[in-house]
Amino acid sequence: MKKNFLTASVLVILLAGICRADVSIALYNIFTNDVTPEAQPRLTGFASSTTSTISSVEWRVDGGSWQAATGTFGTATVEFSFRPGTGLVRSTTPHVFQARATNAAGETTDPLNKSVYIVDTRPMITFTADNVAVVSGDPIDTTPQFEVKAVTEHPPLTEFKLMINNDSHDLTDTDTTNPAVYVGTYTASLADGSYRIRAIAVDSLGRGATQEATHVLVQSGIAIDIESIPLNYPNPFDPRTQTTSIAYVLSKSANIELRLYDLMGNFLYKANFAADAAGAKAGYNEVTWDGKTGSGTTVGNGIYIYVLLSDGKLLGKGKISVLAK
Amino acid sequence: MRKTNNKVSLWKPEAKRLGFQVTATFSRWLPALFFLFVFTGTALAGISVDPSRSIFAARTLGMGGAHVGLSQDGEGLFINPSALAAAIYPQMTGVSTNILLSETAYTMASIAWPTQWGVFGCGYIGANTGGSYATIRDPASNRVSINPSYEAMSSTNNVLLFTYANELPMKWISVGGNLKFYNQALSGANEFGRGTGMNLDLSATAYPNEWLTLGVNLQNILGASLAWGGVTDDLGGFTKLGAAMNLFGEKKSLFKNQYDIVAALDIDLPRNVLAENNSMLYHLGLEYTMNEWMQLRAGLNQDSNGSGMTFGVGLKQSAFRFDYAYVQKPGLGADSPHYFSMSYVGDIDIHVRETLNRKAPDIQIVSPMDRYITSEADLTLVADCRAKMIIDKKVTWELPGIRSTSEVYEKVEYEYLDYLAFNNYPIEKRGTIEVSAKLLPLRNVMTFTGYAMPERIQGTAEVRVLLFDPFIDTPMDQWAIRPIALCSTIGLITGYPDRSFKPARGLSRAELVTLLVRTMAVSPEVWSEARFESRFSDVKSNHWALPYINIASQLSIVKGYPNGTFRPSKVVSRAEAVAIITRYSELKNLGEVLPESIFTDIDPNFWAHEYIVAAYKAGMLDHITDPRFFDPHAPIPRDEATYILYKSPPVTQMVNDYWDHGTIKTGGDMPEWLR
Repeated sequence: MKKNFLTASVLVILLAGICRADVSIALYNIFTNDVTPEAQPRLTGFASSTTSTISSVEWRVDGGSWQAATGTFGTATVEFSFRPGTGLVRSTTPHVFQARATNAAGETTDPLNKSVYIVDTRPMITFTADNVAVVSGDPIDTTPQFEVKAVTEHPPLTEFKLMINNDSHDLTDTDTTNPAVYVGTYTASLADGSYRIRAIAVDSLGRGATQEATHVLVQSGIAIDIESIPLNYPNPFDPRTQTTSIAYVLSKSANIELRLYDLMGNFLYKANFAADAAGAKAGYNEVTWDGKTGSGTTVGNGIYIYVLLSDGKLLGKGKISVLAK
Repeated sequence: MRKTNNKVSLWKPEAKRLGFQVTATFSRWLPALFFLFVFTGTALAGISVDPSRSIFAARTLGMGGAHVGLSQDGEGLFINPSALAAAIYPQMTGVSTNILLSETAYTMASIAWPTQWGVFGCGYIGANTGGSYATIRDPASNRVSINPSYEAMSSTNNVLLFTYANELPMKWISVGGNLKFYNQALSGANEFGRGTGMNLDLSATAYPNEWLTLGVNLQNILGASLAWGGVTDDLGGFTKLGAAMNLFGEKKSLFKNQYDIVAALDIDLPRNVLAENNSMLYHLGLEYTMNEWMQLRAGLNQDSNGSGMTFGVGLKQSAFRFDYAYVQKPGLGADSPHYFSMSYVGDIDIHVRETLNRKAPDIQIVSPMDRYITSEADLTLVADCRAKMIIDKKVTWELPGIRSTSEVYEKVEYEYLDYLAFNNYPIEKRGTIEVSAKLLPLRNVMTFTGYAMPERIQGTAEVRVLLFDPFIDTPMDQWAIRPIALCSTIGLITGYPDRSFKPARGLSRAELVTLLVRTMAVSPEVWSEARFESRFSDVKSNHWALPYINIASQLSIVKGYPNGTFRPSKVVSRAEAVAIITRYSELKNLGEVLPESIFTDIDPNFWAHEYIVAAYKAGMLDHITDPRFFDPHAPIPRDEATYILYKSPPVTQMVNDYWDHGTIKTGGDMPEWLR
């Protein structure tokens, strides 16, 4: 099983430091394996300046807006701390904290990144099929490669497996970077039908967790179709600063063509996605549109209509609102 | 002259004839439109769709989008407004449909109204949609889902056009333009934005000859954009070039819509339009006019989607045209290929209604002529025996839905009579008929009588014929046979016992006087007095003509010679005969002077001058073929004397009485011993 090198709970480890000119900043991790069940974790660090004083430290999480950290500023070395005002989502995907310091001379460090897994007290599990997250009712391919990811506060895992209906498949951890993070893959060969997919993990304390998707469909024998209506996010969007993601669920993998029109039916943009490639996989897909025509012209405000075709067959359509203000 | 039938020469008179009051109020509000809009641009955000750059009207679509050269209808207002200058009648087009997988509600309407100041028009295109959902990412699955907190977004996209077109003084070129006002809005999902803008199309159409039309339309030449508060969207535009050509010669001019097959080609040169690329586009179309109510169309259309065939049909009834087009959008087979539009193309409907006003017999005897004289007892009559119908023909000129006017004419038609009789005997013949008749001696009256149903209106026609047994020396082709026959029939003249008339023989004074007095109503007392005592020394009391000579003298018809003689046996000279008959006729115009060019052998001082003039003017001498030579002293023959007498008013009256009544009023008081 997984090696166990968890040591002291109060061990302070210098993870990283950023130095720019005479300003530097460092975060100190108090979370073993960067994993914590605390939804609003507090992070601490030091910022120092060799020729000046630290005037401020800012932080943000997951690319949000910059906020001021707390600390006694005005000295050459300052200890600061910060914590999110609201609870962060527990996930097998780490949250990325960033911090930067500014001295009295106006010099600012580059952002210092720190990834932190926020999990339940039980292991957190997610799984994908062909790199697409699977939820109940999703279509999947006939030979999907399942990838299961588990993150636990109490490694090592004593059980880590994937069950397809009643068939159990033990998984081998392939992640070597973090003892609390487990990643295992399994390639199945499935006949058409409805399946119950379960990923199971049990930690060193014997606490188990299951991630399940029921009625997962393999339907290679039917015509390609789109489940529910395609949607795009964000909507509306400003093509000057954003792209929008067009999301749709395919019943099976197939060649997909995305075409965009204006309200008068003028053809603006086309993108093709080969079967099994991103945008043309069975299940949930997302493709992006940057608000430009095929010739690179940015479209104006209004609603644009997109259609998803497979070999000329209309699978679905939706409307994108463009609003630049 | 390429284009003589312009709206001034056709429409305006047409309007006047139809009673239209052509007025144009546009001139009052058109300038005001320029003040309605204030536009300021800011940062350019993108290219916005222009609903007016192409239209979904079925005639244009059916011809592959080629319409620049054929824009005389309501569709043309958007494509080439200058071509509307050739419109004779008001033009309107309307479309309401869902396009692009039924996601866009498309509305188009246009009207163009020809006036003596040019063609004014107004158009509207609206393209609206909704159902663009606001979305969020699901925190658990990180998937995109509908944000239930917001309503779906919708977009309105409207453009209003004001059009003017007119021909240039050289007539074969017209110019026009559209002033366009844009209004776009995006609302929903707690967002709202509105963009407004103005732009201008300028176009020209040329008719280099009667079978070719060339056109150009510069869309959105102002380059102005759509202002959305802080940002601005460009509208782009096309330069549209087009030609339309009648494939079958120059006899049928395009602008009169008299073509059989027309080919049209448009080329669109895009300028920063919203499209996948801004490459040049072609449109090719054919329109075959099968008859006055049906047109078949085909085209090859190229747009941003690609190229594809198009088909269409136009059905025209009265002033309205219904158009259908089949256009499959390349790359989007699920899109409906069916497009419809309705147009008012204007046309004068002419309605004719005929109602019978009255119906009456119309019997015309073709031959013989009335008062015909013949020596043959067997006579064939030819007559047209028909019913004449007076029909009120009401012609209504209607510009459907706008105005109509009517005029009523009288029209004559003929049909067979329902009943026909000849001399009261029914006959079965109708139309132009021939009837044989047996004449009785002297005057015959023959009558056709007919009836026309249903009113049973009676019509008659009669002809009077004289069956005359000519003298042995006066055949029916004798020049004076008619006077001789009639004067003989009514008893004015008689022949000799041998059945001769001796027309060339001279007439004595006594004979002439006798002839005249016999026509006169003379009282018995006068006769008694005139029978015994002679007024002239050379007329003995036992002279056979004594009473006639005396009465004629008493009535100043004759005067005798200065020596008291009458010379009864003397043959009457032409001058004397005219003088005596003129006095007998009591002509009123005695004393007038004869024109110099007539009867050059008559001196104005000649004693009978005034009588000859009077007789000439009374038409009594119209038998003289060379009027310059009267020859006054020559003896007058009996036939000429009879002719002059026949032409005298008293005898003419007697002859008319005879023709009319079969009797004459003459010699009524003549004593029996003289008869």
